[in-house]
Amino acid sequence: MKFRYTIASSPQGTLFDSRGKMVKRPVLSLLLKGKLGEEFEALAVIDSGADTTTLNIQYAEALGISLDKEAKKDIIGVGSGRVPVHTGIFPFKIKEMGIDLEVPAWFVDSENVNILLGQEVFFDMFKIRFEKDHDAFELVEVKK
Amino acid sequence: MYKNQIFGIIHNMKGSRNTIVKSPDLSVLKAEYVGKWVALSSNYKKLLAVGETLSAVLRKAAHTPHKVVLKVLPNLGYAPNVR
Repeated sequence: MKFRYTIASSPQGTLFDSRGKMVKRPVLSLLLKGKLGEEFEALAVIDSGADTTTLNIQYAEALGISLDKEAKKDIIGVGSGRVPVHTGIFPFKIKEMGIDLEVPAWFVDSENVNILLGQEVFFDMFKIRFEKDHDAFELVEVKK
Repeated sequence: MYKNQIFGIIHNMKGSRNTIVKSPDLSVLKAEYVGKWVALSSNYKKLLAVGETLSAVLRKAAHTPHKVVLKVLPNLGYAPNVR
């Protein structure tokens, strides 16, 4: 299935690159189930630069995900220097494709992170084609 | 820790379709929401709740069955590290 790239705009305006073109990102709508069973959507960026799916630690509380307190580790790239994360499992549904997934995830207490869908498991489950030249990206489920 | 855990696709209800999914329009967001969590209607046109935490926003918007939540990040470029 193909998805349009999303313009990286915020309340502060649209973000432009060095050529004056709008920055666009591969954003996917995920369907999540809260700890009381309620469903809601969240937006995630597909990030081939992230080794593992990385998301704000507040999702763990909202989804009722238990984090392994013993399995803390440090990562780099989402803050200043080394940033501690908790490891856990992130369950979600790709709304438009109707696909339920579980991926290993790093939960981070950071002002700069919402949801980044990283390589571990997710990139094994789909062929992901970034077709930036015509403003689309494609996910094709890998049949194993 | 999760060596014996089976990850990946659990269920596929729809399969692929030959459509291009439209991208979300987040123009309803305002400057004062940067750094906060928000809940929007499922068509992204209406702000349902704003708060300091995701849980607070979900509580405030509990009456609306279909909603989208996100943390509003500052409008800056993003790059992972390389080494």
